[in-house]
Amino acid sequence: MSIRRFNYTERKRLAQRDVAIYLLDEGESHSFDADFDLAGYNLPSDARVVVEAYRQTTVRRYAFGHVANPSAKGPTGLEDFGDSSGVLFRTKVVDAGDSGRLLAEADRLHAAGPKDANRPSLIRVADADLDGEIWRLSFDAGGPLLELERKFARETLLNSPHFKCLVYPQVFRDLLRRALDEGLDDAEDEVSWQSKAVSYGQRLCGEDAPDGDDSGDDDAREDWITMAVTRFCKRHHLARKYTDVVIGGGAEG
Amino acid sequence: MNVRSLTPEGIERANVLLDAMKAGEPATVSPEFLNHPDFSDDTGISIGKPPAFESRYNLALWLNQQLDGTSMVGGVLKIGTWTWLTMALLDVVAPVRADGTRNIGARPLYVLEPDNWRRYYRHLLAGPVLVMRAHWGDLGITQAILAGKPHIPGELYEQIASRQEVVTSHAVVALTRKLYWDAQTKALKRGSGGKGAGSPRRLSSLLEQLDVTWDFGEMTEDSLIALLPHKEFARFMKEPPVEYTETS
Repeated sequence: MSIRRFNYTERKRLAQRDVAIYLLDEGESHSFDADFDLAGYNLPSDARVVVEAYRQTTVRRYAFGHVANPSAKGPTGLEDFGDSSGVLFRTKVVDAGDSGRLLAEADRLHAAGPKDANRPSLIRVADADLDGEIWRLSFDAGGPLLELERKFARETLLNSPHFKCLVYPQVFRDLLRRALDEGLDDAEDEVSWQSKAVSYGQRLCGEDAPDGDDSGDDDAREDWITMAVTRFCKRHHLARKYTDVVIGGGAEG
Repeated sequence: MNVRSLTPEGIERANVLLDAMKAGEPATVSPEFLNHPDFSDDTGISIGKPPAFESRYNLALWLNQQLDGTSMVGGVLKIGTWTWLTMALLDVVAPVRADGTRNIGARPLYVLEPDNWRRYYRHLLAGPVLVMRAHWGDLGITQAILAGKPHIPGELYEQIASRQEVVTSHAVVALTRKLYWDAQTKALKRGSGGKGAGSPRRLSSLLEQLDVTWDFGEMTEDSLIALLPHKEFARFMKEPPVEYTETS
């Protein structure tokens, strides 16, 4: 007989779209970062945000500060898991005191990242004959498609520091442009790739995208896209990684 | 001896052997099978001769010390390694009966299913080793949950280990020791194998309810106890547990 599960404290269930986990792979080293959109849940601003990574009986907890401004408060390495495959995540919002009362939770979250073939990604990846090009971003009925010249090993290319640092930002820029081009009607459909792309851009920028009906404000739209791409690069420390791994040296990213 | 890792062919051969034993054949695991290069690869990990194990706790402690975490910490569980260990220690996890046969149970008990979160914990070696490793900093709290014989996990283990968020909680596992471990007899308290009031099954049901609203990851044992229906669990809370020492 199953037991009834009473939600006495009215714990909220966080939608997966409001908690995005990203794997950050640097060679053999794995870590992650997370983005949250907790504004719509009416949670106390001082409640603590915790992310747990887990696989079988291995669990690690990471403090992400408070609801008001959740961000990693320390290293987010996944060393305890070795290979990051199969690692799942859960996010908890816990009462500010030491009661352990759970205010909100999202569980069984998969991280998005180039090494996770099952990731719920905005962009599909496919091998293609590109006749001299190495990569190309195209769009079809299924949404954005990143085509890669088939004579290169896909995972090697996707995980190379050159590709990560030089190509990903441009892919993201093109993705945002196309999403905004196709109008905010589509973007209001929460499951569309356009909505997800714009929503991610908004989380990075901390502000809404310029109104698509205002056709005379192309400069504002480009500024917003550039801000999103810039913050994407900073969040993933792409300039620093490129300096460290490719060029060698100590420039800040 | 060196621990080896079964190849896919070796795992297939292990399955055939287990099938034969399950069918009642007095099969043995030969050294030739365990060391044949077609069936296994040397991992380079050396372990000593296994002593007699009174409980899964002793077994898990010995394996953790021997393996020093190499096979389970910081990496994906290796099916081949754990299955080889199972076959090498088959007398421990499936002892020979008087008639020369062995009682062979379901396959996940012997052949690890690392990607199946509903079954991985059932493996008779990897299960207790992982549970103990999860609480390595305070491993004495696993005394109750790992109190069963090496080949008999027991009701408490089944009820707690089957849920990842529960078995990895220090507060929950410490609570199982407080409730069900008898420090004087060094065994589970009488009645802890039942299904009625205060039993592990009842505790499991309560925990399933409580984890909707409480974060087991940060709770203390005392704060968890405060949430239990005291009248129901009073009979198991009478004796305070003795602090764990290496020899207890």
